[in-house]
Amino acid sequence: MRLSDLTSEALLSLSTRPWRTATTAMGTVLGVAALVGIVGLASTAQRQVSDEFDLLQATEVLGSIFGDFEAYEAEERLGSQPGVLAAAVFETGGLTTIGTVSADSTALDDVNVVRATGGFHEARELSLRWGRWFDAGHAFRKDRVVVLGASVADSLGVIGVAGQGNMIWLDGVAHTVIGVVERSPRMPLLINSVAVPYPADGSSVGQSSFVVLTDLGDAPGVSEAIGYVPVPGKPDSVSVVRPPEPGRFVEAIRTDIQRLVLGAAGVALIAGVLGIATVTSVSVVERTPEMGLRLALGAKRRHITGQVALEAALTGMWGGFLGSAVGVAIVVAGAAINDWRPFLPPQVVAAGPIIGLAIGGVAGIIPAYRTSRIQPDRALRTE
Amino acid sequence: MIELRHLRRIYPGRPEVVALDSADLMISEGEWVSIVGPSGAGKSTLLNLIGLLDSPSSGSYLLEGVDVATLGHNRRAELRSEMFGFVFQAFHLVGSRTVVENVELGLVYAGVSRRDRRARAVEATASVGLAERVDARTPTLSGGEKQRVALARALATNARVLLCDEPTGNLDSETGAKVLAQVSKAHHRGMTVIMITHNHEVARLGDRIVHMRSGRIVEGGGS
Repeated sequence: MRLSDLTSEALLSLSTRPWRTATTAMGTVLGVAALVGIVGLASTAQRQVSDEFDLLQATEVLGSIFGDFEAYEAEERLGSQPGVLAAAVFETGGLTTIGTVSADSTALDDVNVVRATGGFHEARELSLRWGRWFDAGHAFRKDRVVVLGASVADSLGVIGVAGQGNMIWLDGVAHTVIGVVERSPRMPLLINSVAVPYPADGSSVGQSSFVVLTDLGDAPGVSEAIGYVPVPGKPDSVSVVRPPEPGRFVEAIRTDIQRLVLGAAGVALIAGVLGIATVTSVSVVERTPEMGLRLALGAKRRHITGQVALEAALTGMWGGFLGSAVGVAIVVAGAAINDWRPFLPPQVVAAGPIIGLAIGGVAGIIPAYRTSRIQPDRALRTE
Repeated sequence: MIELRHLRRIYPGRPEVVALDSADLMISEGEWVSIVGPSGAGKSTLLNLIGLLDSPSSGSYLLEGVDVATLGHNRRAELRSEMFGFVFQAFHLVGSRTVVENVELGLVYAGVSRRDRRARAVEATASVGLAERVDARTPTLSGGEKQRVALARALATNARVLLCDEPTGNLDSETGAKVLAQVSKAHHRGMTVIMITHNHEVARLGDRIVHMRSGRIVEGGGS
């Protein structure tokens, strides 16, 4: 018996029992779909996290400044360094109570206070819901202005727009709200804070920090060169925090995801093998008289083994194809829901049918072997 | 051609069943042997042993002088393909296939090329009067047609021995006569026929009648 005949016999048997074939393949469809879906979603999420993390870390240098210094001069000197796009000096720390200036005054306790220079808006890549960030002029004139984080603004019911004179109480003094920060990806704390101009007279209340926004990839180089810049002649009063290596963080994520994927792959494989093995076993029992007939007509044991195993393998492969397609759909849908760019390694999609083929082959071996051992006369008597 | 000496077939169990007990039988090439006897006499067991569908518990079976006990599984399968054609009372057709695909099945295992086996299957189907129904699905056939398909399948391989187990048992007399006419035609072309039947008229079509009872050949075992 030729291999082509064996294959065509297997295909003919499968095609004449489409419902049985579909039922048998279901385990593999689900298993491979889960595998491709999880790998795809994990890859998509990994790439998303990796992209965002790399971008943030590769373009930012942070540092601390001790002792007396001129904040606005420091900002200017930092901003003029090669590779630096924006710079700012700021302080975090201190809690305050703020409230609206209106008949039905609303108050919030323990609100974070951030004091920052004018470059903070650019250096931290803030998005404003409305209004503007303060500048050096506000600080030198000692204007009583604030910028609220979106969460604080929402809590206070500050919904006005620029120039409409929204007023709040800050430490018992009325201040004008000149803007609201909608997004602050580099400093999420700001959303729950109130920002005021960094005092121009140097009356800082806490530990001063600086932040520098660089061109992509320049952060390591800038961090090496920037130690002498904020306070000339006093390099010891400046501490630069070197940007963490993004690779280590991303690698950690990758390892976690790989564990998840391996677990999913294991479950998928077991589900597929058990599904096909179970249904194939039931199927060959039902087909015992047919197998007996084939033996009576001259089939050798290896022909029966080959046919049953091949049918199981082809069923698995078909299930793998379908599973891959379903998996791709899951990834695309999952990415669309999260507004991500879907990413699925092509080799994972291509592996679906191959995995299905292997699952089917493994699952079919035992039923195939057992079927080929049937005595033909007994098989023919089976009802 | 076929020589059985003290052939026994015992099915193990509690109690064990002696289905065939010390059977001696000789059949010459081209002979038509009818096997008759009550239910449980061992007729089907004898036929299965002759057709290499089963193995004896003891005794010897010489097929053209070769002791089949010495043959491996593969050789036995080849002999089933080359020597024997089977027609069963229950037809044993593959229900999901067409008439011609069923007739082709034996040729697949005989190693006949795809083109040749289609031609031979169509010819065999036509020879039993079913030329118009080659592409019909077997569940749509009548009992008589199914049995003729089974006969065509046996004839297509040019088997030398036709083993029939109650081929007309599920058919009315008119349809049964048509099937027997085809068997008779094959026999006249030189085919050896071994047929189990409960019908004595049918048995008399044979050159010889073998009588069985309680697993033993009680009459007609000699050539």
